[in-house]
Amino acid sequence: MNDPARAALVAPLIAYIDPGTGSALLYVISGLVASIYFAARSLYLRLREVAARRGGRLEKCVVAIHGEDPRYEITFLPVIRCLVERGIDVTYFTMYERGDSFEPLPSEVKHRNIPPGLVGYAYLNNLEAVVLVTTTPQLDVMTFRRSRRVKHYCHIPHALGESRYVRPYAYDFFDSVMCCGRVLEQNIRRMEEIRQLPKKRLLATGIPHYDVLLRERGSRSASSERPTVLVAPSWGPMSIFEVFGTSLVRTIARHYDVVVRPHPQMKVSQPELYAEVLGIEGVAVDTGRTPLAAMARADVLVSDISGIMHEFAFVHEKPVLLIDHGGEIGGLEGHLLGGDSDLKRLCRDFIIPVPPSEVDQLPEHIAAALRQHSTERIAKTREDLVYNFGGAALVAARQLEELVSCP
Amino acid sequence: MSIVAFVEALLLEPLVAILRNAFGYWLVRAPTPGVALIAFSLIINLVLVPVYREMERAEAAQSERWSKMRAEVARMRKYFRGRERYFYIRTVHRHYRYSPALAVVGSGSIILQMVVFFAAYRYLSSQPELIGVPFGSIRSLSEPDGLLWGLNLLPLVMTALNVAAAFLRSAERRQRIQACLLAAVFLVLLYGSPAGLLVYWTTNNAVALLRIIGKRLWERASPVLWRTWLTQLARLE
Repeated sequence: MNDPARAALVAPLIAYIDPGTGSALLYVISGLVASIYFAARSLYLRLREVAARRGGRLEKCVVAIHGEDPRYEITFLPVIRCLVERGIDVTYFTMYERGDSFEPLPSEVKHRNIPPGLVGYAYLNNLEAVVLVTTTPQLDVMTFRRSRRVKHYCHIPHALGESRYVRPYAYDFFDSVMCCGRVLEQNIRRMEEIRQLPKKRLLATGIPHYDVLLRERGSRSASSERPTVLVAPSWGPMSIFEVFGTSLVRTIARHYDVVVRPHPQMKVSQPELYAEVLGIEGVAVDTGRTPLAAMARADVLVSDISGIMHEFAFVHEKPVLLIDHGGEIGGLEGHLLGGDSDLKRLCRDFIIPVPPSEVDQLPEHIAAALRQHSTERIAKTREDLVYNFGGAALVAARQLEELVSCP
Repeated sequence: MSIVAFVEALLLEPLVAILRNAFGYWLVRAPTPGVALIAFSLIINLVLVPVYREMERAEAAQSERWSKMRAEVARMRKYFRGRERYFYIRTVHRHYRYSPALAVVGSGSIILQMVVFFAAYRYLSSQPELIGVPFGSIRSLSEPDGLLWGLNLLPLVMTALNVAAAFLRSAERRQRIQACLLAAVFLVLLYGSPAGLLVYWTTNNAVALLRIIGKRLWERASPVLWRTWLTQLARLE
């Protein structure tokens, strides 16, 4: 073959690649670029974690309990006491200093104070334990990752939830979840079906801190003069203070005594709004570590989606007004579950929805709620929706004992 | 032996040997080298039909899975920002066992097509039998055809077939645009290529288009219709 003819025949290699393959080649290149980006980012995060871990001494535990915030002490302490009574070795990791104002731990419990945030999680990511229990969701999603040396991760509830107003993958990568009630259990199973995840162990536990609230309830009494309204909304974009402003508090205060309890997270995430709430005149503001005193004092609660309304209704057996502004659930798990809140539907007789258009008429709604109130109705619904009411801590301890023996 | 030479010896040489036999077979039996090229292309396509079918099935399943994944990623992008968004998207990818690198390596059809086309290129580029050989109105299979008042017709036919295939293959606008753009790129790249290459290549594209049309017809015809036809066929026999 002469050279010009050969040159004519030797077309570029790409001459034999069809558009499908060419498209694939582009895909290869974009894939490589994306891979390099993700690999670099993962490496950066891993290096940060290693840097944060340096100098840390790893702990070997049987039951490791992780407390992210002081407000979860009320969940853990009753369980810890029951575990100690059963002779189980407990190590309590807190991401905050347990000062003198905190209730003392049983002497058998080892307490470790770990730093908050990334450094603390880096420590936990390398922990050695048979079972790790936490209220913090999204294991293995954000910075809280699974340690290869922890045999079993268990989530414990700090409120009556239903896996609807929680962020993505809240429970997905736990080995077990201590369910507060049947609605959470059903919705976790639904999420497992939607995401085609293996079934995790769902335990009928209940809400351990209700045990404490129930005991505390007996020692206090509600006011007998003008009814007291507790206004305790959640934080973030769905908070009624964010949606309607704080003027609704003044509207109520014209007819009732008012106690305002801003959500503790509001102080961190919405400091300006928090300061505005503290400055409302003519009302009492409660910022105590627990809402026990405020709830005991109040006759009716005004809230939005905060877990406090279930505590108030089920523990104190008093009515709640839920300002139902139907906030966008966005990327939360409820987005995939679809429909509306099951808890809202089942509790609407005593957690009474108030449409946003009627926020100005809150005093009238409060009067009607107090008039129609029935504790029997609440007790019946509670039996249906909450596992082991008043005895959940002991149940949780027994379940943890089982998990330790068979993680 | 270098790695490239090893891969060539392991993968390409056996394929080139197969192609040499296939083309050689038709070169002897076909009336002209041009017809031999067409027959050669048809045979290669025919042999690869079961392989392509299996790979298409696997790719369709993967495509469906990744379509769900893309919807989930879009949801995360819509509602979350910054670090939180990054971690959620990473979790979505992990959940769907997706990684850009694996997505590329995992696609067998891409690798197969590249290997087969590379082997065909290797073999045909060193064939002296096409030099100065006419085929129909084409003066020489080793030169551009110049059939359209001096312009080259075969690259235009090839592009028309590619565009038709692009529209039939996918209903997604993004994929159609991408395929049409690539068809345009190939038109530019191949416009001045020898007619022999384009005869082989255009036949490949025509077969690919016919496969898509056949698949469409098969999918659209109801099972009842197919049963009726098969019953009638059985009666005729």
